[in-house]
Amino acid sequence: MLLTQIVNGQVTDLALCETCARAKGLFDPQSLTFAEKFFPEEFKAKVDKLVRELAGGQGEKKEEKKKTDVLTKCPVCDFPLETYRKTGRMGCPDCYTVFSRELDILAAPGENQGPRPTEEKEDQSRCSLEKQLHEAIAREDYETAAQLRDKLNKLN
Amino acid sequence: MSIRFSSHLKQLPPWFDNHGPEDGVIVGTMGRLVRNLKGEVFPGWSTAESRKRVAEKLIPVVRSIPGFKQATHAEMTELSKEERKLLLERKQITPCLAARQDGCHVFINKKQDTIIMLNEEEHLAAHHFAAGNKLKSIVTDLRKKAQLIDKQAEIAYNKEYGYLTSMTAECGDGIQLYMVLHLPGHAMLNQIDKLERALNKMHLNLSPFYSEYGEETSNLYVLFSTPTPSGSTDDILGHMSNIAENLVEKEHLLRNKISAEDFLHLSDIIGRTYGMLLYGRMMGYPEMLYTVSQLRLALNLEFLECERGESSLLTLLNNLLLMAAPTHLAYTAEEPSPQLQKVLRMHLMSRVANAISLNDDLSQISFPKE
Ligand SMILES: [Zn+2]
Ligand SMILES: [Zn+2]
Repeated sequence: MLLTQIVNGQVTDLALCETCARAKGLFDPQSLTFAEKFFPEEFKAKVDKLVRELAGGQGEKKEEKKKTDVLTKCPVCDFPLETYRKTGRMGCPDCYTVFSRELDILAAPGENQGPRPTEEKEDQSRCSLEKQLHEAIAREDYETAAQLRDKLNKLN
Repeated sequence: MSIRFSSHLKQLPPWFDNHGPEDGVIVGTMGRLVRNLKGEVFPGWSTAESRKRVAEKLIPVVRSIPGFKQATHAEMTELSKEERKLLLERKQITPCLAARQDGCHVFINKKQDTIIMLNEEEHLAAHHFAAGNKLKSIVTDLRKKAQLIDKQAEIAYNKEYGYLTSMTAECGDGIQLYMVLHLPGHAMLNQIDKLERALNKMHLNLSPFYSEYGEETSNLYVLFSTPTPSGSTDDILGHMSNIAENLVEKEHLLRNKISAEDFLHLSDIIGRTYGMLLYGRMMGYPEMLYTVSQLRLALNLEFLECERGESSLLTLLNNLLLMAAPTHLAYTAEEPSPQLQKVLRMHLMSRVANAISLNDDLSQISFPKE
C-alpha cells in the first residue's frame, strides 16, 4: 500500500514511509507508550481483570465463540483484515495463522483441499495465540485480547 | 555516513566488467532471496522499535555470510537523499528501501555484485547480480546464503505456504529471478507486445528496464518470474532458462532479418549514430540510452568493428551508462548545470568513437539508383 506507491512511482522525491504511515493513521508507536504513562493504574486494573476472567471463564458465553471466526484485526500486530483484502499484504507472520480461513478462501481450487488443520497446526496456533494474547494485553487492546481468550477457550 | 560508504559510491561496480554467456542479448541476470523473522511485524507494518529489533537479530547473520564480514554497510538514516538516489541508479537498493529510515540497512560486498537489505519489503532481502545468462549459478549462490540464514535465525515458515512474506502471493521458496534483455530486433519489428503476451501465458513477465525514459529508447527489458511457490524454484529455473534460450535465438533471427531486409535503413541509423559520436557536442540521457542500444546492435551485426574486441566495448558502454546517468553525473561533477551535464555526457560518449570504426562494407555503400 504505502510501499507500492513508491515502487510504481518515480522516486524523484523520497516519501518517508513512517511519515506516510503515520499520516494515514496506520500505526502510531508513540501513542501506546504515551497511554501507558498516563494511565498506569487503569491499565493494570484492566489487565488483572482480564487475567482473572481468563483463568475462570472457561466454557461461558457461547455466542462469543462465533466472533472468533471473524477476527478483523491481527491480535499480534493490529493489522486489519480489510487491508489484506484490499492489498494482499499481511502485517506479520502470525497474520497467516490468524487470517488462515481467509487465505483458504482465496486459494485456487485444487490447492489446499486436504483435511487441513493438523494436530501440529493446532498446537502451533495455540502457542501463538497465547503469545498473541500477552501482546494484546500489553498493548491495551482489550477487545482483541477478549477475542483471543475466547479462541483459546475453544481450543481446550 | 561512514567514510567507507562514500568511497564505495566513487567506484563503479567491478562486476560490470565481467562477461557472461549470451551477453549480446542477455545483459545481466539477477536473483532475489527474501526471508522474514518469526514473530516480528513485516516492515510495511512496523514501528521503528520493531525494525531495530529485527536489524539487531539479523546484522550478525549478514556478517556471517561469505563476502559480508567486511561489506560496506549503512543504516538508511545515515544516507542523504543524493546518496540514496545514487544507490537507486545502481540498483543497489530498491525504491522501497530508498524511502526508509530507522532500523533499515544496506550491505554491499566488495565486488558490488551482492547486496543485502534489512527491513526493505521483507526483513531480509538479498540481490545477486551477474553479467550475461547466469540463472543457474545465481540460484545456487542464493541457496547457499539461504542455508546460512535459515540455520542462524528463527525464520517465519509455514508447511503449506513456504517462507512467509508480507505479500501473501509471494510466499514460497523466497526466490525470484530476473533477466535484463536487449531486444532491438523485437522492438524494431514491433514484436514486444506479442512477446509479452506469450510470456504472460507462461507465467513470466516482461517490462521496460528504463520505463522513466520511454521504453523504446534503450530497448532494454526485464524478464522476470513471479516469486517461486514452495518447492518450485528448480522448475521455474528450468522453464526460464529454456525461454531465455529461445528468446536469444529469436532476437538474433529478427536482427538478421532487419539487416537483410532493411539494410539501407539500418546502415543509415548506424551511420548517423557514428557521425554523432564524432561531431556531437551535447547529449541527453534518453538519447544516450538510444545510442548505446544502436551501438550494441551495430556491433552484434558487424556494422561496427572494435579493435579491442566486442566484449571490451560492451564493458565500456555498461560503465558509461552508469557514469553518465543523471544522479551519477551530478555527483561526480559537483552539480553541473543541465547544459554542462549534456556536454560532459557527450564527451564521455565521444571517447567510444576512438575505439570503433565503421565496417568497410558499410562505408563504401553504394546508393540505390532511382
Ligand atoms: Zn511511505
Ligand atoms: Zn499480524
